[in-house]
Amino acid sequence: MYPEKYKTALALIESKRENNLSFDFPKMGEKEKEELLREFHPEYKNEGYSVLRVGSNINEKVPTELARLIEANTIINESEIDLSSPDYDTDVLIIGGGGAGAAAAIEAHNAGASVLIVTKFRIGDSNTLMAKGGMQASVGVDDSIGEHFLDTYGAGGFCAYRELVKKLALEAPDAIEWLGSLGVDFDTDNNGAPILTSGGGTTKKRMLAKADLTGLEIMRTLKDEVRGLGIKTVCFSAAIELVLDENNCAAGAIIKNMENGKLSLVRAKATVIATGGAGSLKFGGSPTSNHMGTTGDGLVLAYRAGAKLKDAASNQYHPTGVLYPKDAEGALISEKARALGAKLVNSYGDVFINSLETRDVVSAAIIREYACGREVWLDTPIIDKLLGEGTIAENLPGMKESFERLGIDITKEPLLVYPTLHYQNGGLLIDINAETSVKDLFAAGEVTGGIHGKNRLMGNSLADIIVFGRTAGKNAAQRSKEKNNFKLTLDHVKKYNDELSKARIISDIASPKLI
Amino acid sequence: MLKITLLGCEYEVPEGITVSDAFEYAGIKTFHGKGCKNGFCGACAVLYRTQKDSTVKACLACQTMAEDGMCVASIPGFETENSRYSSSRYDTLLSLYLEINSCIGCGICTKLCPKGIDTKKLVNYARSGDTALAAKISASCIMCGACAEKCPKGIKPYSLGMFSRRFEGSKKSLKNNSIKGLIDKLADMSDEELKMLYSKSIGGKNVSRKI
Repeated sequence: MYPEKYKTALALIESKRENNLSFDFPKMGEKEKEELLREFHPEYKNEGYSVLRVGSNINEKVPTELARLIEANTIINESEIDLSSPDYDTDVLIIGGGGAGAAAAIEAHNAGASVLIVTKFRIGDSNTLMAKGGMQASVGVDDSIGEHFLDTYGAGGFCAYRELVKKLALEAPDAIEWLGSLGVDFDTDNNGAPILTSGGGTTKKRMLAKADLTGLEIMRTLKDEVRGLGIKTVCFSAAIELVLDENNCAAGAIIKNMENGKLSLVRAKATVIATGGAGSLKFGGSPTSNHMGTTGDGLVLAYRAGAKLKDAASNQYHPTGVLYPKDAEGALISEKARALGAKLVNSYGDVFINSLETRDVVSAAIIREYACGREVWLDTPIIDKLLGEGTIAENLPGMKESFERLGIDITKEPLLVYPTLHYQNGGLLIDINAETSVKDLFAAGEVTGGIHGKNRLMGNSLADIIVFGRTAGKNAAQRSKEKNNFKLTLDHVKKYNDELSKARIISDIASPKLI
Repeated sequence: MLKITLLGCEYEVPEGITVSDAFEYAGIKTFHGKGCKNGFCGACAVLYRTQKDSTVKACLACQTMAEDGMCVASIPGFETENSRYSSSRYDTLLSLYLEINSCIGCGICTKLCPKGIDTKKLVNYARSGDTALAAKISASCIMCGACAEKCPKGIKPYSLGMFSRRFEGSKKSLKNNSIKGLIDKLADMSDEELKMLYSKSIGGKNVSRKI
């Protein structure tokens, strides 16, 4: 139930619903989109960003909250750490227990390496399980890998690394087959063919899903596999510093038990960073749809070890974050709602944007409406009117249930929305082997940059974590076989601290932030 | 303000906040008992009773509003067992989860599920070989383990659901028959050519609109 002040808007929206059903707002041209973004998208504003004063990306701009953490003090005092007796010795260390980390662990294990997963929470507690709408892979009969490539590269503003985009598009169908073999239960029709839907900015139906619980289905299956394989996992422990070897190649990490603060040393022949994004840093005070653990730890660790960042200033605002009720502010309303036909309307009931433009464009258009004094609503009841009663219950059960608890029936009432900080588009630069610019340091998932350019398409994050998670795992396992006899050092930490003092940077906080 | 008992101690918290936020407001460290804040990760499952209803129920703290007189205890969180099974063979379910046959139908598991899944039915379906239905009704399971907590026979409904979903998923065997299309050609084009192709395939038009 909405409070009194929304009554007029709700009545107007209801009265115009029939008309809106059959009205498709025309898609914008490239020039018009550019102007809209420049004027209203948060990323194009100058305030809220700082220029990095040290490290591989010196003089480049990143969100201020992230810059502060990158230029903060280390948690450890490197001279007090004894590097002579590691607590764990493993072939492959995986930092992060979300989808990318789990996929990497399974592949590294299957390639014969000994694997250790270190995660800040329990394995599986991650943004992956909140992914709702689907996973992109060009498996449709009228679709092709080329079209997936063009959609992704174009939506990202033509600034992604093409070889990474190409790999994503090429290997996404393999990723589906692999997940299927593990028992991920994608929705299929009576003939056993996957049911495909569109997302904003896709030219073909390319989204495989399990209702609106796709990430949950993938994550719990990967977790079950990880545990079944007996892969060693250290939970509630966060990596707080990487260790390198004498040739500046990654060689493990120092981890901290989140409960008792005890530090342990992990010696590893190859290391995979899969720590996810940075949404919980709430750039510019924005609400976020992210898990509370997304504090950009991997970026900080790897940057101190010398890794390069790509497009680290670019973040995605998901157009439909919850604005009312307050308790759920920032929570996500899946893009699948729009893929099924729900339309964005303003408080006069008028459609002002094609709901299936890319996320950056839709978000900017919503912010423009608010700037003009009009609220924005996602008119979900349209779905059942368009596709028949029961469509919402069948395809968006998770969302229906969540809002029922909040006292809103999404089959009858629209939802008040505002863009929410959702995804870090950039991150650690990787090559097609998922290796960062630091040797033996691999990375996969949201922590990486270069795949999505400056705007990610719906369903490409799940494709990304599986494709690049598997790649990172396989290559880390391979690398670990080639590496022997190395000595651990924390000299890079000392060097980084010296750089900070040379730049006269004094910080009163320590990083990574962890929580 | 309302009064709520958290982990055995009474606190005053503002009205209109979730149980999860009540923990935070009271200053209780809930490092284990918190996560996605969206009702998906299962980290914040708690047991509770209210003044109106003295039976103990389970809920997700981040998805439940705090009530006056509520009494809340957190669930430590049960991890699934490390079972290696072939998710493509139903008989492995019966050999791994022998206790499934001893279900007495008391329904405590169903009462405890914070997602409202009828776990008693789930156990029945899994036992009788109807894994398709077991998978279907457990689709929204977040694997918090509350259902296994109080089972007098040691049955773990969440593990049965996990098995059933993987069994059903494995049967589908989605094969990669994708079409390569023009990928090699596209990957070698200049950005200008790609921009032209992209705007043509997206099919938008530049219009100057009044806002």
